[in-house]
Amino acid sequence: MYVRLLINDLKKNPWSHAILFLFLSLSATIAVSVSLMLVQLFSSITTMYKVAKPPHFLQMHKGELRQEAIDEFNRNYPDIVHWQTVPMIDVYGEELTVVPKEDTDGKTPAGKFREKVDVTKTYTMEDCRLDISLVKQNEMYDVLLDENRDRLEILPGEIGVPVILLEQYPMKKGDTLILKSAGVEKVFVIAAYVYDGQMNSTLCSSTRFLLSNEDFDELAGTVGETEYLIEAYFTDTSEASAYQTAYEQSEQKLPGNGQAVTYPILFLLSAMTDIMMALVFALTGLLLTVIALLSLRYTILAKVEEEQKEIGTMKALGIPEKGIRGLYLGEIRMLAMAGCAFGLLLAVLLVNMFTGHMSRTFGREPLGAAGLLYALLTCMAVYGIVIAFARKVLGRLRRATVTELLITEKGFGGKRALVKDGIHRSRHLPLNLLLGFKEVRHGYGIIFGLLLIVTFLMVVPYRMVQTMEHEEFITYMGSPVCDLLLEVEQGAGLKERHTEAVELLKTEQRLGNISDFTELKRVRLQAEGTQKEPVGIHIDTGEGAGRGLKYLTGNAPETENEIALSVLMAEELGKKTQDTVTLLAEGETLEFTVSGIYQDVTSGGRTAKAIRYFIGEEAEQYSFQIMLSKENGSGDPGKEQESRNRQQTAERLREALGNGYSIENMEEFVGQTLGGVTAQVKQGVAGAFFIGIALTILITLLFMRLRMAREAATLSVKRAMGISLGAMVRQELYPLLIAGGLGTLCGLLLAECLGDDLISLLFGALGIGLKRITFAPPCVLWQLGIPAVLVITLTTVCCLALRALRQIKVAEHCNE
Amino acid sequence: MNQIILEAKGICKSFEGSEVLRDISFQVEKGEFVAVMGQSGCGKSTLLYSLSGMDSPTGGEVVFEGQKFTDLSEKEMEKLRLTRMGFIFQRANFLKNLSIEDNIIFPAFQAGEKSRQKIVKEAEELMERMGIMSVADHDIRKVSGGQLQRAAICRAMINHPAILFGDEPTGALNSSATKEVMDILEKIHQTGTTILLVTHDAKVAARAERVIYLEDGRIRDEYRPGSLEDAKEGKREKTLDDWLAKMGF
Repeated sequence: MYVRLLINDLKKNPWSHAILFLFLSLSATIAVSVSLMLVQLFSSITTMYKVAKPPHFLQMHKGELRQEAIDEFNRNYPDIVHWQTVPMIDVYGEELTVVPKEDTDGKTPAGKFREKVDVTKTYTMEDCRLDISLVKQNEMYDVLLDENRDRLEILPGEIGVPVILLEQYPMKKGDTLILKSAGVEKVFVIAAYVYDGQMNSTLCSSTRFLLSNEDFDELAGTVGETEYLIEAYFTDTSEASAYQTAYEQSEQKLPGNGQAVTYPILFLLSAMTDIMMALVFALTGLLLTVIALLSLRYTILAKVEEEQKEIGTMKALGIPEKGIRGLYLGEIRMLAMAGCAFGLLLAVLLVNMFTGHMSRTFGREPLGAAGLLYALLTCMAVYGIVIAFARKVLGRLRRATVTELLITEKGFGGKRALVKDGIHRSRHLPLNLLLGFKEVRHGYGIIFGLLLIVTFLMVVPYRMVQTMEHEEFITYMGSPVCDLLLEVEQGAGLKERHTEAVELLKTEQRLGNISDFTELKRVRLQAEGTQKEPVGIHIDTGEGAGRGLKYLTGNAPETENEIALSVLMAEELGKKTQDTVTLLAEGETLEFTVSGIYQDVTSGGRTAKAIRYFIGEEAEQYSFQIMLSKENGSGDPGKEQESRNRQQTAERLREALGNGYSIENMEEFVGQTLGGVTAQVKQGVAGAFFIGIALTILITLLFMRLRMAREAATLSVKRAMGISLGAMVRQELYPLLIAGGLGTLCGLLLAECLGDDLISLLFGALGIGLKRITFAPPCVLWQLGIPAVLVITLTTVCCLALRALRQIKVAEHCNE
Repeated sequence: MNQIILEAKGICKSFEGSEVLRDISFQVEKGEFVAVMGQSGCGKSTLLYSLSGMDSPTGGEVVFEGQKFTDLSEKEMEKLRLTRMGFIFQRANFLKNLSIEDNIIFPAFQAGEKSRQKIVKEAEELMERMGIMSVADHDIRKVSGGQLQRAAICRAMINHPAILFGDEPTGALNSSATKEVMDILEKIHQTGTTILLVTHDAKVAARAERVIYLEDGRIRDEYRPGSLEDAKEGKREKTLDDWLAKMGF
């Protein structure tokens, strides 16, 4: 019977049912896609990690290794199951040249990079921000994989290139990669793409190229600089944090002048890009479901109002309210079931589109039974929500009496006895506008809600991208806004290279090329934890340490006995602003007051800043934040000329200093570090725009169709009375624009007021050291452009729908 | 001879091949009260909608105040209906979110020919006369059917139309409300307004000066029930009943 009812209703109102079906399907599609993406993501990473076995604890180190000390420490450490030290040869991007192979027919290879890069040309990787390391394959642990997640074997003369670099460079199998370093030239053929369990995100600072054992042994000690990955594995990954503390506090002073990373951070960095994508999807799906429910409510109310006589008759015949409700609910059940089933099917078919990045990073993971089960459960949840909501809306059937439905025809609403603010009181406002203000209070909630949600949906991801691309985003990465960042890399001769850098910068300053620079020395010390246990802490020290960062609480350190902590460091030490931190440094116990807490995603998010230079402590690294002079490109990062000047200055400094330094244009640094994430979020923004506009069109169309059906008699009487078509169009358009305009305004305000809170909440939940993100100053053009596009869409759809006014048959409706 | 306000010249109307009106011709004099009667489906309402310009006949011509409908543009037709014609339907079909008073003044505000102050004053006078002033600011769902129909008459009269069309104006009312409404229409007629209404109620038609009987889309006959004096004595109703019986009604 329900099928018959649905079919009859479909014939009567094909448009409204089609739109409702579409919304339900889309809600289900997005909800299922999010669940599939998350299941795929975690199962992809887990499956990859099963073979790749990335370390539970990783300490990078350059210089003297002292493997015996590590061995001895590990032998005595409980719960450790394996440890190894992986040597790597660090080379510079400019030392690697790729020569693309021409196809046999002479054509250049096809690929998505063709438009961006001329793939026929030879290119170097000098603009690669990631540290490039050459490695050989490991036996059992920290294994590099191929796309099928099998252990990758490389023959002499071949090289495996990291799959994450394919987003930046159009490398393909068969291309030639030439290494020219320290007078050695070695030619490799790219034979494979490397899927790296631990260095698979641009958020990591390094990437690994795989060589055969023979080639690696030949090059080791001859080219580049050797860096070590000191890795440890435990019975339980949660041991890593305790091990890190013990390792850093060890009396043997174990090697560790580089970054230390634990398994959870590795996992998170790997998944970050896709988690962001899933979050944008989840937000979209949530809003879409709300819109689907609003549409459902409107459709149900329109239908029961239209059929109030039939409902009244059924009530008069003694059919229980449950039975009447069942008739409507049965129809909605059919529609929701069909929508959810279609949504599920669509999501399963389309999921590969959304998991492309995942497949490229972690290898392809077929959709398993668990994935399908989660998809089904999500679908059932969407169905359950829809039905529960419909049941609640239909609750009003109970309230109306037979008399109200059949005799007085007062229907299901109308509780007001008096109408306030009558239009007869207005002397000047245009009548159609007055009517608009009156009309908008009744039934236009769906348009208000739609525009509010759509605006929010469009503005928040856009503002997120805008913030991520803003120069100040660097301050979330533990560094103030500057033009160039020079790092004296770890390894032998650090002090000498530091002196050389200082001298060069001073000369440049004298010459007027550099307006100012701040020098920071990074030291590793021990702090006292919550239980008085020693906790390793990396502190950037120097005059300008901590200045120009965004502080959640407090300020940068200003005196020698003050220290600023990163969020995660403060949490680990259990400290707030003005608390005292005890440090073991220069052979004594020193007390520092926490001057402020800032956000930092670098070095696992656990850093500190202090003015005290800790002269007695050995430096781990030196860095210089450089502000250039105006003529050398200081200023607006968006301006092309200045950007080019900055780039040229960076290149000049690179040439002057040679190897052992990293000089980054800050724009590029942020762009390359967050490039992958920003690109994903940008896709989300494009999706949100498309979805937003499509939703506005579809719901406005649905609304107008239902409204015209509902108001047919009133519209006919207006036509009969001689109200002009133009006036009638304005009378319909104004309330729509008032509701839509208000919704847009509220959506905009909500996005500006709560958008960054929402994003902060999401980042906070990820635990990467970001707690509070403040949107960058808005771009007025966009802020006005988005509402303008929505209002134009609303007006166009409304006018198109109102063309039907011409076809109104007055005689058919007036005496219905 | 009195001035002709409305003239139907050989009006025909067909829907999907079936003829609803066949060659209807008659005239309505200025200030006349005419009722159109007939069995259900005989084409009464279709005739009314054709005569009021709400629907276009498929053949023939309608002339209103000397103007042929076919010579008028859509905008001119709209203006004509708004300012020179008034309409009362079986159901008032008011704008739901406006009060009774706002619904009444709506067509006058829309016409914009008088100041709003004057329109409100006139609307209030009309409501006073119709006995609905006490519900002026009421929600349309909170008043009785009779009050609503009296409000519909006020709305139809607010622009001082030359002719008032009624399509079963008492069709949804009980007998006392019907009497109230017809008394009002009679008073309006006495002020010189032409009235043309469609009804199947002999008591309502008995108030008219002339009754046109429609059968299968054609005018079968016309009847003048008698003077107002006769009506007061109930004779008019009686003679109309006899005539209708002859028509087979």
